[in-house]
Amino acid sequence: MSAVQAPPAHLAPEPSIDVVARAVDLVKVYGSDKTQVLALDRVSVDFARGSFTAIMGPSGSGKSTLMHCLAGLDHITAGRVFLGGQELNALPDKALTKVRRDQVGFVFQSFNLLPTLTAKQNILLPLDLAGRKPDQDYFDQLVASLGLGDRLEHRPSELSGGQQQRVAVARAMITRPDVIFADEPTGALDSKTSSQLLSYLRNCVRELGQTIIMVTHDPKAAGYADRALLLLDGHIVADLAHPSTETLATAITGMDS
Amino acid sequence: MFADAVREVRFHPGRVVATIVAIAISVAFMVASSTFITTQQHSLGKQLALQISKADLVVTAGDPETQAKVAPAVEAVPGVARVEESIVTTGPLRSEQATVMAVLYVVPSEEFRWATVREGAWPTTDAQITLAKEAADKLGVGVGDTVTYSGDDLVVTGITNDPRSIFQQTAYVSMAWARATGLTDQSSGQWLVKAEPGTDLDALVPRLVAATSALGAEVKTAETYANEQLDELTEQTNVMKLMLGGFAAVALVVGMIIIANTFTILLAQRRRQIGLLRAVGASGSQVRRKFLAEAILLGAIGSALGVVLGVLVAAIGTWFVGTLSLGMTIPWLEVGAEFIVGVVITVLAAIVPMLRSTRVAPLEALQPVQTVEAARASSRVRMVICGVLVVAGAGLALVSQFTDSWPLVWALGGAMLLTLGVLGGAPLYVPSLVKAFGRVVGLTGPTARLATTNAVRNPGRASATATALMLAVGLIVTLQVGTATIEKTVLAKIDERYPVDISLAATLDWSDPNPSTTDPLVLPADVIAQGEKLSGVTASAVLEGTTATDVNKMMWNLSALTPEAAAAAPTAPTSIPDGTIYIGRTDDSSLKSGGEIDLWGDKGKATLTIVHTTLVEGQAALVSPATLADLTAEPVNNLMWLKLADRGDMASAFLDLQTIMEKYMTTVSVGGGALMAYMIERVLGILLLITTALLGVAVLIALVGVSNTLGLSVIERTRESALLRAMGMQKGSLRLMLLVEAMLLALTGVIVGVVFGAFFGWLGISAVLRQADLAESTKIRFAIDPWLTLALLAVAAVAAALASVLPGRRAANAAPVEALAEE
Ligand SMILES: Nc1ncnc2c1ncn2[C@@H]1O[C@H](COP(=O)(O)OP(=O)(O)O)[C@@H](O)[C@H]1O
Ligand SMILES: [Mg+2]
Repeated sequence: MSAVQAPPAHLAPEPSIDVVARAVDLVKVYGSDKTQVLALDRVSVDFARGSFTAIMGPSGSGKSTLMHCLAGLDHITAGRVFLGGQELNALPDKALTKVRRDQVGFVFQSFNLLPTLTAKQNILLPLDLAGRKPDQDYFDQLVASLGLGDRLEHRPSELSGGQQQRVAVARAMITRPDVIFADEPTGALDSKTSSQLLSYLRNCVRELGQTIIMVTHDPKAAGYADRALLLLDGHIVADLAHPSTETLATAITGMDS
Repeated sequence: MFADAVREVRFHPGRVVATIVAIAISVAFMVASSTFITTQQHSLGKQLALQISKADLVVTAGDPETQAKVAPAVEAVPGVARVEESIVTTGPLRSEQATVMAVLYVVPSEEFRWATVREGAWPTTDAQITLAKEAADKLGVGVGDTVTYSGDDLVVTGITNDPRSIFQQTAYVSMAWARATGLTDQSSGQWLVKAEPGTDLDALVPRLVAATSALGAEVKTAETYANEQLDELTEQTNVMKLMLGGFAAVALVVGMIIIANTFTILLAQRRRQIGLLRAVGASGSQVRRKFLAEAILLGAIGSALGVVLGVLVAAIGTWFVGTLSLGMTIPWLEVGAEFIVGVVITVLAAIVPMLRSTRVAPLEALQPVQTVEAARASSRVRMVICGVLVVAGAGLALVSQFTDSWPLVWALGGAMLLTLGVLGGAPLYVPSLVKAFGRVVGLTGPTARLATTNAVRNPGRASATATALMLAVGLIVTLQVGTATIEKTVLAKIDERYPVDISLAATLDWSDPNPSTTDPLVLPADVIAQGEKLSGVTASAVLEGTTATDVNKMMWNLSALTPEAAAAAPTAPTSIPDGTIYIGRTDDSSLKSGGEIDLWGDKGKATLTIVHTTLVEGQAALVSPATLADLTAEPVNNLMWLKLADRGDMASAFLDLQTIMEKYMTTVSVGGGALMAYMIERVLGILLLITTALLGVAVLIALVGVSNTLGLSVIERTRESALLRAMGMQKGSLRLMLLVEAMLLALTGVIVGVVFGAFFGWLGISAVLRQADLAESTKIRFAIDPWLTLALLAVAAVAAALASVLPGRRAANAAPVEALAEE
């Protein structure tokens, strides 16, 4: 197994204009005293603007934790996290919330949408919260490209799982965020719907220059990305460029055993 | 099955806190009122029993023929150590500073005395008096000072240690005084008996009965006598208990709505749990028993807290009225019953939601929400039933405005049906109302818009929450509008009927047993001086006059109307023709308007033509100065009229006026439109305040309900809150969202309550007037107290804001990562 260790922190390059998210010596410990869990152990990693990265690893390896810390959803225990040029661990809650609102988009595995709002209201929610007017052309374009044109007035309970995820993607895209974080976005979808969604995400990266960081344990899904990080017990054990589904599958199987 | 219930309550105390609070408040209300009233009854009883507290037996006899023989007959019975008649009278005691109503006891002999003198001595001569500490304080006198009783000056010789009294003050006089004033001419009919030490009282009673039955006397042990008096008293004051019970019932009903709503929410949240239980083979009745146990447990905890709280409140109330020193009496039987009522209403309120949720099939319970068809069907049934109720209620209300037979009954029936229809139909219109209000506040931004959608996502929940408030607020507003309308209507009548703002008239001293019928009545110079100084007075006039008697030896208090006097009563004529007498309206056929009356004054006789007026009342009358001169050569000041800058503004003048009234309680009669209006306003104001305070308990419970609904909803919405936080909503915005949600629910309830309350208030008063056949002669002036209504809105808004604090905190603290966590 070719485990490529990430460079130590002091050797890491200064954040350049191309790096949109970065973690330096990131440590995350859950719990206290006896029940402590070391979820991330001095992880350092950069994400380039306009890249599509998949974070892979067995269950409990720290994938979600890494994503939460990068996205400013959770406090880190030690180290540093940068996003869009700002150091997140230094920000108070109010500013951090604003970063999430304006610079980050989220797509979760499920329960992405507010049940009381229509699809359209859900898509526009981040702009609404920021008090910003939507760019009508961009909105129309997004909705058309995701095929949601005739579903805008429906509530989440009236949409299929695939449609719900597409609404979530539209919502993540609407603010033109620096990074979109997706945690198992296809976890609850069938394979055909999955591949449609993943192709769409890849197109966003290729055509719009959108940065996407996606957590997944499915090698097929990770195959859409142009970089894959393999996590094991809170360490990055591999960093693969343009991985194929097969290489990933082998790597995962190797780690599981 | 209770072990399970205890576990549930211990693991999720937050979920049931509101239920417990609602039950506790309802039960506390009942316990407090019954404990307070019972305590007051017993205190009063103790005070009444005070004068027999040192006696062993009490003998009473009502026949004046034989009363003189009672004491000797009792004394002759072996075992009787001493017998003494208890002599007592009541009347006003006056000092320079004040007048108080007092009970004057002739000092009993040593062995029967219940109090001791803490300063000075007991009275011995007919010019002495001893006062209880409180009486002396109220009169502002000490040992050596003088007080007046019915024209006699009495020197205070001592101060006793009597407990504080509830109504009348306590004073002691000597037997010499009683003889001198003729108090002993008639027997009081009550004798206190002291038995020889070691005598068996139960055996003594029949012997005494045998000795006195021929005299028509009754013999009782002092204990029995006191108990019987207490029973009589209890019967009289039980009406109050009943009235408070009515208010308690309102609190209970509101409490039941809240409890039912809580259970509906709790069970909805546990749908999956129920479904799982059913799926693994639990029968419907097993599931029901589990929840029944929880309801009983909650009811018992809430009721127990309520009992403690209620007794505490009663103690505070007793302390407040100053009788705590006489001890508290807790009616354990009633309190026990009230505890059970608390448990029973909890179970009753929980039963419907319980049956509804446990009847569902296991698979259905596992589905997240009620199917759309089921919801539609139930709302259609509701619409039909409530529609019928509202139409029928409106019909009855309409009939009450036209029928001549029992309009009040029609109105009551109409109000009842309308109430049921409006409250029952709440789910049909409350969501739309909330949405309408929400549209207004929604203009402020996305937070308020989210709050609106959240407030109505569970129409049943929102409606039940608002319904509880509607009921409580509606009742308050009904009473308030009724009171305000009565007030305005009556005040308009007073304005018509009483042209003088304030009148001060010299009257015959009613505490003087033998008043002179020849001396003219004089208004004291002190009163005139003080009257002129009253604040707000713009014009005053002192009228001269005299007393004159008619053929029946009836005294008339005549005053001469001068142009100056007329200036103080703008609607009065500026002069009265000579030979005419203006008297108050009367039904006496010998005093018809246009008739004649002969009057004799100290100078001579006059025959006068009668004219009815609203300027004076009773035995007071107005004549011209020339007529007065025919009757007397020496007129005196006997009437004073005061005009206020604003008749409606009596508050500042009243305190000073009250001093005059208290000091000259028996010799000056104070009247006039301003005073009457003020008194009526005050009495109605106090009544309204009390009823509002009593119904306020129901409002309080309803507001607990708002907090409860929000709190429970927030629990279900944890992931949503987390999602909103992840999307970039600030903590403050989440708290604001909950605040707006609370406001929308509260204001919807309050506004519907105000609208219907106002309507019912008007309906009630107009029906009462029709019922009393006053509708034609009295124009109803609909009135709503704007301040009270605004205060209600403000209280609801503030309380709703408070109610949203904890749920808001919980929502704001939802960690954003929770949104991503899989179940
Ligand atoms: N909130 C938490 N409290 C305690 N431990 C946690 C928490 N979240 C995750 N962990 C632990 O941290 C480790 C990494 O979890 P996670 O990042 O969710 O892994 P993955 O997403 O790769 O399955 C696991 O051991 C998990 O048990
Ligand atoms: Mg995960």
